[in-house]
Amino acid sequence: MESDIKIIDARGSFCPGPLMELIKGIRQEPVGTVLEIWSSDRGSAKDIPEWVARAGHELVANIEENNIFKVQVKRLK
Amino acid sequence: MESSLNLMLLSGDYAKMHAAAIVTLVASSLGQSVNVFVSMESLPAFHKDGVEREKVPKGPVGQQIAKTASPDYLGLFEQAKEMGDVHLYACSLAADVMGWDLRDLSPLFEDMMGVAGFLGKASEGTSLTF
Repeated sequence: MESDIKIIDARGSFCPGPLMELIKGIRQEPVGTVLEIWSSDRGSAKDIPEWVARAGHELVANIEENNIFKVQVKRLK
Repeated sequence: MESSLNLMLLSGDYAKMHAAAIVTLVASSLGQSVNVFVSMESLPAFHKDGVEREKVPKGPVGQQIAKTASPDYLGLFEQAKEMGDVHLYACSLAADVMGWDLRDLSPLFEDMMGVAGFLGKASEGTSLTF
């Protein structure tokens, strides 16, 4: 199912760059899409889940791999 | 629907312009309407002429932000306006003493007014000063 995940590579982008990339990305995809944002900004791991909760989407995963934060978000509306 | 956010930008501090732009952008992405009043030492940061904008002081953090952040605060405010219900107003007092009118300033501004006008536009909600 991995091919169904839309990757957004925002590594190297400063706060709030990764969040803005996610917001832009989520608006372009249909409801139900899972997006995975890659960020090297450590604020993203806390910031993105907070935004996702307030915006009413679903946080699927939030992991760190070699200093890269990968946050999966499902568009719910 | 979230309540609105009202910002007053007063300081001559580059980093604060950036902070205000990020707050505006994130709040508007969550459906919050944002009213921004730009006055006093902040107004030059919104001049059309880059030479005037350059006069806004930068501390150590502001210098790094100016070097690395893309887009800058003007670009962030522009994105926020595209995304949501965001309104920027220029202060007529600060503009008058500088001899500027709306045409000298960034096209981000919808209008120029005094504090009474802004308080009329600003709806109930959180107010922050930068």
